[in-house]
Amino acid sequence: MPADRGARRMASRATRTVLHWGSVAALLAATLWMTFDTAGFSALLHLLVPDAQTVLYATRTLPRLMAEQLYLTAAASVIALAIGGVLGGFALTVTGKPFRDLIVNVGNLAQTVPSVAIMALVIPLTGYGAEPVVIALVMYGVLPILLNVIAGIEGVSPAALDAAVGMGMSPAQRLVRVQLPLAWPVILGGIKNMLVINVSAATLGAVVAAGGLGMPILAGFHDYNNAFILEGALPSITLALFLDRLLTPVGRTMTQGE
Amino acid sequence: MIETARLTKKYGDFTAVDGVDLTVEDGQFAVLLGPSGSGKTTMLRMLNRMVEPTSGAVYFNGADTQGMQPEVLRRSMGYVIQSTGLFPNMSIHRNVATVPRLLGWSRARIDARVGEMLELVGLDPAVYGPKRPSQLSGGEAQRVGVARALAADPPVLLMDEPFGAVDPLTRERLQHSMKQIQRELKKTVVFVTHDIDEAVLLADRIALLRAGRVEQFGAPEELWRDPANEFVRDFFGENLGLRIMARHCLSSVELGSLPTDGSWRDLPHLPEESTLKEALAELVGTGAQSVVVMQGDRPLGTFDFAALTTALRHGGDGSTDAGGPGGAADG
Repeated sequence: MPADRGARRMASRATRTVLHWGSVAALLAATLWMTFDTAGFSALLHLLVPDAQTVLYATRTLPRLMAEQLYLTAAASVIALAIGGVLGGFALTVTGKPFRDLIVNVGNLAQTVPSVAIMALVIPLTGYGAEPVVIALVMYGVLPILLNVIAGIEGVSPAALDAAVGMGMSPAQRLVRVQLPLAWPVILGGIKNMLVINVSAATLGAVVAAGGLGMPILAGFHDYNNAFILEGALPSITLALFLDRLLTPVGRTMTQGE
Repeated sequence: MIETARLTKKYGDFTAVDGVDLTVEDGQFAVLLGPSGSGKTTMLRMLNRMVEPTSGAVYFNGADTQGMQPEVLRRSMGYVIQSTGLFPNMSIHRNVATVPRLLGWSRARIDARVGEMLELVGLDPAVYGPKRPSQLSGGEAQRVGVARALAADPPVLLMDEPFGAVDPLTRERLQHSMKQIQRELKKTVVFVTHDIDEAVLLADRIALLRAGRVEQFGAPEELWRDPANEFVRDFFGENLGLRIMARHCLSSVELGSLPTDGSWRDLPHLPEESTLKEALAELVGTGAQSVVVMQGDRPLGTFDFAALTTALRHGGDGSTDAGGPGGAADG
């Protein structure tokens, strides 16, 4: 029965939507709980690592570490988004077309250099602090943005574009009304990849004294204290999963014109 | 009126369109017909400057299109393509509203116009307006494509094999609706196809192209009775006569008077919307001397071989009247 099948499809779609947003809310709640409920989170860490004397890193509180982590991620992501967007956009213009492959290759190359190496290389120029880790994260984050901007715009159906031209849209109107909306799911995928990479990789900030959730991890490594490692790793993991879920479209028809 | 003068497009050494002079009058349904690679699509795309000519000119209502802004020119020419090119990110309503929105119409005016256009192409605005292009069948999507092209009431419609990708039955229905819409709205249409049946059915004038040149430009009847050369004759083949007969319907020909003795009741009956081809089949099939043409329950007159011959000899001013089912009663 088609009506029956349609109803079932709608029901399964509703179920998926509920599950999706449920998981988003749960991951956010877990992250917030670990960050702010010091007593509760330390009880959990005691449970997981029974032989640890202290379970919470004493130098900085978790809210502060989380704030640093978010700051590093956000700063790197905004810059990477801007650079990736501009480079991707340029590669799609008539002037930029000849440089398209070059730009993509440079983006690929930037990703092959280990972040630790990048930080080590830029520290003589920038000193310790947020700058080296932000630079390293930006170098990592530009490629997914760049690639997805190019793939998204190039993937727009030629027929839709032809119709847009034929109906008298100016190049700017075509971009805003047709190309960007159609490319958006792909571009959003790139943003998601970059954010998830950055939020985990920002733990590297501890190495160059930029703070963040890497600090308890590094301390735990020094002191052979697994509880410290978990204190930094668990909130970082739930935060990354939260962002991943949040930016994953439910079902197929995520982007709507208006 | 659209006029081309020595219109030429070269791609390197290849000449796609070769010095074409063509005039399409206002309200005319002109078909660019030809084998693939004959330059018909290039020709069409030069009319709205989606392809810039290498040399020659296109005049739109007497003005050189080179002097117009391409976007402005294109908004006055509806554009329909085979793959529909509906925007998948927009509802059907917003798709149809595209050009009116570009022209900055008020919301109320756009809403009213979109409803009107969807009704014109036979789609219920309340049902189809909120849908997405992915929810439509091929035929429905093409109807939306036509509604979208007509939305801003452009004087000209450019159509590039619009019905090439739908199944034969749907195609025939779309062709009939198209013919009816064009007659109703009196648009100037330039229509590209490689389908001879489609061309003969729809065209007031056919431009038969080969290798970028127009071999002949005229009414289908003209191309049939008086082909300019062997190529024209061979291209249309032997069936052209029958195809021409499918263009005209019984309501448009001179009929014989009914026998007063009432003996017409024994003759086969055909509704006046039937095409001459159908009438011929009826005559041959039944072996009757003539058929009675009916307007509903009322007999209009008789039709026989002599009437057919007369109709085909004198018909051919280029106007066709083989409308859609039930839609051919206007003369």
